[in-house]
Amino acid sequence: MSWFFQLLTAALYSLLIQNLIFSSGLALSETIRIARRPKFFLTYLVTIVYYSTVTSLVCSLLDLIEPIRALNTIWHVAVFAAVLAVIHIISSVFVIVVLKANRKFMNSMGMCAINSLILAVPIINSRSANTVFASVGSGIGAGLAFMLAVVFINSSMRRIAQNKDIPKAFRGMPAVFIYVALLSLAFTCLSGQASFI
Amino acid sequence: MDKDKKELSFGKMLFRGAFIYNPVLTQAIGICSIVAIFTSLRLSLVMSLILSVILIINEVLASLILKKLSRWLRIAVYMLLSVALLIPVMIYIDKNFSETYASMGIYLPLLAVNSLIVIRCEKFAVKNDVKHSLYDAVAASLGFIAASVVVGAVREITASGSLWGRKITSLPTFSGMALPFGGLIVLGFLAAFHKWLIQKRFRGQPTNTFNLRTSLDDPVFHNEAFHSTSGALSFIRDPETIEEIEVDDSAETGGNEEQTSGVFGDDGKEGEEK
Repeated sequence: MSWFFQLLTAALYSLLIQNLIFSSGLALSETIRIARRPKFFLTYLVTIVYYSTVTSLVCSLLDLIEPIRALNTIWHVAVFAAVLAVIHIISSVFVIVVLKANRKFMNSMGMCAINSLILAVPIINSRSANTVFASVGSGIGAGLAFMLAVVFINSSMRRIAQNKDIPKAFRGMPAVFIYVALLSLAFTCLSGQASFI
Repeated sequence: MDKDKKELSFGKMLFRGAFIYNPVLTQAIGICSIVAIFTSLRLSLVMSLILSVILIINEVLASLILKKLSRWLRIAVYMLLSVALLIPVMIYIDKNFSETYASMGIYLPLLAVNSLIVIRCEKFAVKNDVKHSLYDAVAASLGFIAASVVVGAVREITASGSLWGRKITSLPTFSGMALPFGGLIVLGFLAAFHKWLIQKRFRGQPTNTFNLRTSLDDPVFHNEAFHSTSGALSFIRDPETIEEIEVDDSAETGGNEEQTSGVFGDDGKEGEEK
């Protein structure tokens, strides 16, 4: 069962303690954009979790190969980016040929695949020397963390849009930035970096 | 046609792409690295310059040779191309400025997947000629650099009391400004200032893309000059159809940009200064 606990711990850590979106700013642009499309949340959730998990798994398996593990960060990143590109292309072909996906879905897959969160997770796993199960767990957790951030930001956007007390210059984007800043502060404190206060 | 060409002159594209429709402040594009790592003026300048070079090369190549590929394939190509461009840069910085390299952390390689590259290439470069794609890349880059440099400078001063590594004030500092939430606070105030400035100077220009449906009331949607040069959206005349157009636009772009960035952020970005 230890593999399961490794996976679960890593997933919960990525989701709640070290939420990469709020505590590291990863994929924040994509999060804000997706937050405006509640209709597609489920599609994005499935796709992002799929990409973050599969990329983490493949990269972590590759890291078991000695010559790849011996690479420095620069070449590691190159390998991981190539892996991500290959996974994206294979997945896209599968979705087009087998599932007969429409263009709309195909386009959203692109954004879910190529963003800083998906590429960062395997790099972080590699640097932290995570096991394969912990890597998969952090991949799942990162995908879920992304959607948690999307839900929070969507909720904030709705409140901001309805709030008439916000000064004119701060309405919309500036207010969203500041709202996300407060969420980021909360998650930063959860990760233990509270000494600056 | 002449009017369209005039609308897309370099000066206007530069002014609108870099200032009026600043990708960072009005569309929240590419804010990952700004929020996370742009904690000093020097770092902000170096990293935003690197991103600019990558963006310009990507846009030119996208406009030249990638138009015929499927969108899902192009996105992978942008990433691989960016990584290929970044590798020599990373090796050079690692060899010569190892301290700076260390302070950039994983965010330097992550520039390869910066959303600014994908969005500008997909929303502009693949739909336009090389010359205008180059103009657009330069404009977006300058807008990104300007926002990055201001955020980096403010954070450096407030977090450490220094600027470009030199101590300039002995006032109390707030080290939390170097964390992502500090970057977001600075971005929020900067975006508000930018919005206020534009509303004051250019009444009627769109400055807010995240006010949900309220942004659809923006006068730019009803502006003839805008519709004459806005490519995919050029057929819009009736404000009642905007909702439908948004869905169409999102379908085309797969949500790779916010609903209004297709309007505000591409194809010449129109609206008239008053």
